Amino acid sequence: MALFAAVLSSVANVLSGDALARIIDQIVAQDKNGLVRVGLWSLGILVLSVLSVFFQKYFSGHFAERVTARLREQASLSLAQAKVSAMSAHHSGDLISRLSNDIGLYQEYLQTDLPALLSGVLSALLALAYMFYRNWLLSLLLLATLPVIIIVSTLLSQPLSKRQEEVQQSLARINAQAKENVTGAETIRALSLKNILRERFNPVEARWFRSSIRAGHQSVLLTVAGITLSFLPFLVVFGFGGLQVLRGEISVGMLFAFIQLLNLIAFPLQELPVYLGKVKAGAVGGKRVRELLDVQKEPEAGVSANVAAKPQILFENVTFSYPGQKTPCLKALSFRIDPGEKVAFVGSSGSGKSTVLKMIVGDHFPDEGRLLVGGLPTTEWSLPELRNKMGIVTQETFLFDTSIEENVRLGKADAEKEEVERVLGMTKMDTFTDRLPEKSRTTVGELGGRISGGQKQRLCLSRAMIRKAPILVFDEATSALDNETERQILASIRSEYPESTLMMVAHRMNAVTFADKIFVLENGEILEEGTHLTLMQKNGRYAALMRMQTEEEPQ
Amino acid sequence: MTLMRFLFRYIRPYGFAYFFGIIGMGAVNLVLNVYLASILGSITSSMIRFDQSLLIQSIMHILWLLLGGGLLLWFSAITLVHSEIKVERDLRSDLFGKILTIPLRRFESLTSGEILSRFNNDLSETSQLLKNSLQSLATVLFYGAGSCVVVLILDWFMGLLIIGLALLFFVLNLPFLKPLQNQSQMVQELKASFLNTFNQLVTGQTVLRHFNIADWMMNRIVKSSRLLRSAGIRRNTTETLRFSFENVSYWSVVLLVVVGGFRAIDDPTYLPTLVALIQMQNGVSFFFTRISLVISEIQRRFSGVDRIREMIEAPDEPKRFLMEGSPSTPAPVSDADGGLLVEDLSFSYSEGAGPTLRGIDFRVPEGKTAAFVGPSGSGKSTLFKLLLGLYPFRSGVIRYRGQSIDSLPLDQWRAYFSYVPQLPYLFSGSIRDNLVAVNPHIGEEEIGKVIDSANAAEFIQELDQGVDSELLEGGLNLSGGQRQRVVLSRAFLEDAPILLLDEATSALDTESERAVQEALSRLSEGRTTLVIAHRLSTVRKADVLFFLEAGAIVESGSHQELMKIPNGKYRQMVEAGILKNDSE
Repeated sequence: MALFAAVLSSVANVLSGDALARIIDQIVAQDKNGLVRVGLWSLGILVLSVLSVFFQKYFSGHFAERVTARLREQASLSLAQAKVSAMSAHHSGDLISRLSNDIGLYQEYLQTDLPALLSGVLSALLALAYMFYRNWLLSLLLLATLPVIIIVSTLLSQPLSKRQEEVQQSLARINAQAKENVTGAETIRALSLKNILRERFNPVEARWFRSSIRAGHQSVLLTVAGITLSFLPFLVVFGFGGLQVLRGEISVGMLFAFIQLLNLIAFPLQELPVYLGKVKAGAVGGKRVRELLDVQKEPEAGVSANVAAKPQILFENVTFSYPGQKTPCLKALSFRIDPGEKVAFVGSSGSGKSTVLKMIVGDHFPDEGRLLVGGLPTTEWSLPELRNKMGIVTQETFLFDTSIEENVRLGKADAEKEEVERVLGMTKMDTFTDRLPEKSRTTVGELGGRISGGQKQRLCLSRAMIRKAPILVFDEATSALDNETERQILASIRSEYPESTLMMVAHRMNAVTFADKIFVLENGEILEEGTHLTLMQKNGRYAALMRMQTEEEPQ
Repeated sequence: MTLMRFLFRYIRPYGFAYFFGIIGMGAVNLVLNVYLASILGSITSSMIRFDQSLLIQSIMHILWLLLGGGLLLWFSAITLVHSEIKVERDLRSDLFGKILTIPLRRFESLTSGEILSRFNNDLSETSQLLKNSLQSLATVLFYGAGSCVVVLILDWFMGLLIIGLALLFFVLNLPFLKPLQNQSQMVQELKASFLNTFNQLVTGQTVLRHFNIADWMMNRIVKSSRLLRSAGIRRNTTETLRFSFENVSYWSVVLLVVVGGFRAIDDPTYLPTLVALIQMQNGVSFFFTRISLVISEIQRRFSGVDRIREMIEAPDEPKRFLMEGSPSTPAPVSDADGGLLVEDLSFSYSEGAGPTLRGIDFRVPEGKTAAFVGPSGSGKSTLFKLLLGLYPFRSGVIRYRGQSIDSLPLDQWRAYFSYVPQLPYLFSGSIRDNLVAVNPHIGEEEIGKVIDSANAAEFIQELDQGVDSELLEGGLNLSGGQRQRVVLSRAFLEDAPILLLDEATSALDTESERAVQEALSRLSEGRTTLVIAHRLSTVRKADVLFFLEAGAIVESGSHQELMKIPNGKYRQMVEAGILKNDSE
């Protein structure tokens, strides 16, 4: 639809030039009736032009918005369904940039640049055709002047962009110094460095000044040359064309029409490099957004296992390395967790404890061996079903920009308000919410800095706990809480969900001593296994890790 | 307006050139176009009357016009460019200097991002104002308004018609402006809102997966996206309507030619005038279309200028420390005790906030080491900043060797202290540059000595250019421990009587750790030292400890004494393992 309108407007543009010619001819011919006639004709062209431009702009805008919106949504959906490994390949800043900058360029391209380019080219071609039809000699001469303009402006603009880059560079250096002075504001004053730093500024400033002046000179030259050169075609038209009029080969009106039509050709020509650049940028932007559609998704298929309400977790010789890493993170790991057991994984960083949890949750799959949950390997599970059986708290506390209540409800969509209140009580967050004017309807975002790391953790715990899932997976879920609160929450888990299996990665004595069974991991293998007491008695790795936490008391 | 006065202060040294340039460009534009119009008129005559010689003559005239006009234009533009760059240079220079001399307090109220934004964006806005906007204004006034005058002179009837039409379309444009602005703003807000939601999707990806709530998220995304889409379509429609009106105005030329044409038919000598009128009409419509744009552009840029003005006119740090609220009378040199004395020191960062420090009282005798410990946010770092005179405080006394903080010029007072912060600050340049900054007359031997004392000699020698090796921004090409040691060399060089040390909490590699610790011991030996301690060994070795909590000293004494206090706060902290052990 927009294309059709674009064509119409280009035609209208050319016809307007023609109309002008006719008008002037009628004037010269001193034909009043003819003038009226041509005047009305022009009016008709005017209406056509205005309408076609209107429709073109309206439809291309509409089109661009719809296409862009759809692309946004599709890209988001693709990312929402993406595999863990696929997402980690993209830095979040990069993704944001794609859905803001790149998609913006793409929309500009669809809405403005591409139509402008098309209609500009179309108008120019039509104008050229018309002019040739009317007077090929003059048209030829005019065409000859255009390359001259292009060549001269290109010659002048190259050194300009070089100079401008120099200015940008020197400016960057100045800004780097300014930034340092802001960062080191304290030290600068404490050590009275301001005079020295002022001196360091002078040569950098001088360099900027010099390159700015040079760039300025070049820019002025380009502008003035551009203006004077742009008259060249007009000179040709009036000079040569004028002579032709005198010889009767062309009418006066037609001459003026040529001037008018010349604008249709010259203007797009000047702007062509700019538009080509924009079109290219826009196309690239669109491509970058569409790349997101091809992101690898998590496997959809899978059996929804007819599992017992209390699934067992079994690691059978599981070996796993993260993509791109040579040494395996987990080596032939084998162990079993029975339903209802509360198990802790400890070990130094890099021992593989978090990885174990991530595999149970289905974020990764074993390279060798099998990981069975409820008798079915995770590779055969339908992942949503698998996760439905779990309440998961990861190391990174993440809350959505919505109310506290809704955040907790994400764990169980149909939870009653009482359930939410209850679980907030269990994590001792009820006192926090009670103090807020809007209680649990307060948005997390509004709280900003008023909510601490520990409080965020407790909300994440609430979210997981409200599920009443048979399996709880906690990765350092209580690390930001003080000893007493941690103890209380763990105790309430034991009392409220006695039959749930709990797997946690923890460091602190409190959490670890809570567990029925402790696995000590080192380099992806189980080093020791047992309860807190038995492991302390063994006086092995576990005992050493626990001792490192406390200071040696002088006897 | 204060803004104009501010700008004028900077323009004044180059005032003549600047205004000559601006006015020149506008005037040349007008004159060129007027001449062109008249020549076009004579060309038209020549064609009607079949006068070849007139035609050729007119063409020659255009050539001369172009040449002369081009030269004049070039000349005024160059003058403008020169003076504008000089004004910009002066502004930038003053702004740069300001960053170095404003009191530290300003860095609290303005984030570093904002300060740098003034230096970058606002300054470039100002230069754009000087370079383009003001020049556009001049052009619009001279060429635009001038054209209006000219068309009236050529033919008052047609002139009125031309101006009237242009004015009409200008007025028709007006009702679109406000709604368009609102709609554009709405689009911007919705874009930000969508991005916020999308950001949640990206950062909360794990949670979406683990809780199977991708659908919930997508609902929000789609809702946000659709809102944005509708707003965009609405704005596009408004803009299209407005543009159509503008388009019609472009066509008004045709109307003029027809109207004028009737008269030209009756009076053939009128045709050249008509042609000239059409040419000048460009200027008239230029005036009406551009005037509001230029004015709003200037208004917009003025906000940037204002921010710069605010910074440049901000007061510097006082040369001598000023107590807040009271006149500075130097305190009498009373107690001949050496050492650092702090009495009843209270301070809050801002009016409304609670006090960060309350009634701090302590004394550190010469050559002794005092360690400060306490929970984060208890005011330890603030205390150091006050000792350095970085913030004015309302009440309290700070004296060293009997001299009060406000009895000396600030530079001299600060020279008493050597400050080693947690995150060492090095500026880009060579290591030597960083050292020389403290003492410009330092010799090679001295440099060698201090590097050695700081245990930095070894790694510096291994660098390609040794002491002259270039440091990247913030010293990033060195490791944390190496940076610390360069800063320590600087401290050795300063050789100030008091050392203020804020211990780093993050771990360094063991080799650096030991080297740094050794150098620090060497540095603080025999020197009055105040240290914000995070390590067990430090508090053990200190002569006296001060435990700060919520801005007040709640316990003080030696390590052994404080450990004996049952349920003492210091003791609780040590037992909780908060202080770092030295690694084996």
